[in-house]
Amino acid sequence: MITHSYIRRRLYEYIRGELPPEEQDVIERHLLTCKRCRIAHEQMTLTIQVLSGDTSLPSEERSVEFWNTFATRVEEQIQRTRGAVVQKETPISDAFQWILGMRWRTALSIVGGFAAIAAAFFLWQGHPATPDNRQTEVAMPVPSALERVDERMAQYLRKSQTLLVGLTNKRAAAGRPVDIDAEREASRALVNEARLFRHEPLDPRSARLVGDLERIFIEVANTEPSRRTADIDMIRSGIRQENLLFKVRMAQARFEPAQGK
Amino acid sequence: MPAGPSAEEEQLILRAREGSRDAFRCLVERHMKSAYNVAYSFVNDHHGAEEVAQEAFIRVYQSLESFRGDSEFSTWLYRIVTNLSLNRLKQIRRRQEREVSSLTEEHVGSVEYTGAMPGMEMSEHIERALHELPTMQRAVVILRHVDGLSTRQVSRILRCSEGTVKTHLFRGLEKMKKKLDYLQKDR
Repeated sequence: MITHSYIRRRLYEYIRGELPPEEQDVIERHLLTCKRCRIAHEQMTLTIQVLSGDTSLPSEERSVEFWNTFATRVEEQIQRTRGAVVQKETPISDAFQWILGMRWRTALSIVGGFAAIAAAFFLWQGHPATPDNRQTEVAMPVPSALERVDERMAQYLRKSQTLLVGLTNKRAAAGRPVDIDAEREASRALVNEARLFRHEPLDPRSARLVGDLERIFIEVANTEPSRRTADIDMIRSGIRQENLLFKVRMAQARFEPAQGK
Repeated sequence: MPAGPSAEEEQLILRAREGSRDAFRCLVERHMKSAYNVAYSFVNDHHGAEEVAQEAFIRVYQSLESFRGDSEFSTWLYRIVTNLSLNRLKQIRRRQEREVSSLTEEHVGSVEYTGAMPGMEMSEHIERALHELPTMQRAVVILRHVDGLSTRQVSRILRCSEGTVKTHLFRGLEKMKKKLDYLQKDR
């Protein structure tokens, strides 16, 4: 169903002719019948006219000389940063020198300690497996790196689904703002988890979904206490518009079977 | 479907990764003005915008290896600019909070701009009204309207949904309209 807010949020694109023809038509028809949206349309057209006529880019206010030397200044800063990194490495070499300069008894005891640990490790590795041990090894194969990613992804999706459902159903108690402290906490944890997936070999569709979820969770985590009710409505509409719950369920179907569930 | 960098830009990125200074310089020169404009949209002063834009290119240089090419190079760069700008704003806000604690509420409230001031150019009125918008609304209006980026690009830069971008844009323009009402009446 087309609502007034749906129309108003597309007015900018409508005025600039950026919408697909069928959507332009829908809005045009709505404007013929709705006075409130028509006024909003007229006001936005005027505002865009005022803005378009007189808005200059901040970069145009800087001199040609400023822009001619900008790249050079960036390069110089990079050189300085590199210099700083080399400087930072000096304490490590100092530490090596300190170890080398230690009394021979201290050095000998440290080396001896490492040798004992290494010997214990080799003995443990070389110990013949008992028949029971062998059976365990066959029964519980070590999961491959890909299986571990799938498992983590399945867990991440389950948690995301729970959080999205919770956010969608969250209602404020009468006269009080929506309490989403727990959801904000969970969102922060999920944003951190999502970032770990950036370096994993995910298929493009899943990587995109993780990115979309991350954006929503960042919004939840950054919701200000004073604007919660308005912000949470916006987040909810984002979840609906991007069809996130459906996409999460579809992704779960891809990742859950990998765990034999 | 997010578009990756163009073939030419991809070549520049590859060469810059391999250590070509010319290629990196070329990338900087291509994007410096837009990075500056994005930074300015947040920090609202030329000195701050310059620092943020330069720092962003240093970060780009340091993390070119991690650029996967899923999005356009400019989107990735603007996201770095946005993060740096927001961090800068947070630092400024913290500092102001410390300084403002000694002022009365009356002083703080008097900062808001409410109408026309004699001798101001139209562009000054607009700029002033624009910079009184809340940070995200201001960023969306500038990125979308002034820089001409698409809703999807802005949503990826600001890490929010396209719906949120549209809402910020609508609310931002609505507020600007109220602030600039007297200008429209004069026309």
